[in-house]
Amino acid sequence: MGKAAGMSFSRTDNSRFTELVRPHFDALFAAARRLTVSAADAEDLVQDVCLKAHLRIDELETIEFRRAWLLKILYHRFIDIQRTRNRSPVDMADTGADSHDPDIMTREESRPEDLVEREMRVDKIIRAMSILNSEASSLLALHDIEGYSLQELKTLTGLPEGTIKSRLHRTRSRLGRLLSNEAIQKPVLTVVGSKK
Amino acid sequence: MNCDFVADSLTMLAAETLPEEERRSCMNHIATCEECADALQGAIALWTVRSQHTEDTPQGMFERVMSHTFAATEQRVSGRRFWLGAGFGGAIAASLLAVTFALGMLAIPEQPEVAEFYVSMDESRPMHVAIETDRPLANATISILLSGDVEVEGYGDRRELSWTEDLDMGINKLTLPLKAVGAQGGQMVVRLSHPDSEQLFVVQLRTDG
Repeated sequence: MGKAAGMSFSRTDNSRFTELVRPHFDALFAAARRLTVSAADAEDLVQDVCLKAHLRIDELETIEFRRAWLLKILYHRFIDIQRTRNRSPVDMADTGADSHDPDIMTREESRPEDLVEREMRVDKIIRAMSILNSEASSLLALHDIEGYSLQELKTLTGLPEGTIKSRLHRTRSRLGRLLSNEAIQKPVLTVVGSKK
Repeated sequence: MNCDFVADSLTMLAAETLPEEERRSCMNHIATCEECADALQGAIALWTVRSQHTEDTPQGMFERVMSHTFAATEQRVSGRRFWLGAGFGGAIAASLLAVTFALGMLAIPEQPEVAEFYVSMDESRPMHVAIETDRPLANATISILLSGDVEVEGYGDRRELSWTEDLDMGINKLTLPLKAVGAQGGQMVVRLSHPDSEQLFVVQLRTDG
């Protein structure tokens, strides 16, 4: 149970939180950066994660795999944001950048067309992930993107290893099917009225 | 060879690090098993994300994020209904408007929250609205009603937009790109409704210059 209900925070809580998060901060930013178009978006995502984690500081302190716990919140949050964005008529989380963001051009890919193609592919993967169940999708991301082992995920989630394994396989299959479906499109706005 | 073995090997298969003999066995199974073939596509996709190059954490970001986190928590604790962007990064910290959506409000309050936002005829400006709920809300309806000389960019002269969202507990961000089409300014009403409650949020839109 975190501090959300009847909470109060002291300076000690804040410095404790700082010490707990600092060793994992770069990993959080790297994960966020892989998923987002710009460094500013990644920062916003990490900010959200820290806010959520701060409200659950007691839990954060006792958890064995802090980094995995924080990353799980990050993926969960990201997928929820993405899902909301896919359904919304307007941009639900300001990207502040597009695929021509200079940040992207500093990455190592040599040709701009390769880079754009890669960005489009990653965008499609992310949209497909947002269609999946957030919990299953986060678990899959922790295993396949962040490289956590089944044993670590077992400790993190408390689920039996066999259950995790079959969930991962099922979710991967579903993701693969979604990716072969060309119809992964943003939903269309429902307009209920307009000026004459 | 069975699905279990393939499942265990997919990450290495996607990364092209599986020994040749095992790779061949896996591919033979995959050729006859649709579920595993789909799973391989999923694994390859996630490997693509994993191998994305990322730059180092920007200097000063840790301190900035911590500072925003503590400020946001402080404001949350103080019970203010309007918190002004703490909790978000620099990219959207400016011009953030906040709505707190509390359950148990069965009627529209007589005095809805009112805020002010400046729009321009020269450029579209993103108005960030942070909607904070005290628990997850499935199928909440968000309606935007516009009046006056202002448009949501991309939606022309439409005066009302409405859609449903599943809102997370905590903070949900909504960004509306607004542009003035005349000097008179206008008004926007954001209405959040859910079977249990409804809330209005009014923004006076003033034209710059």
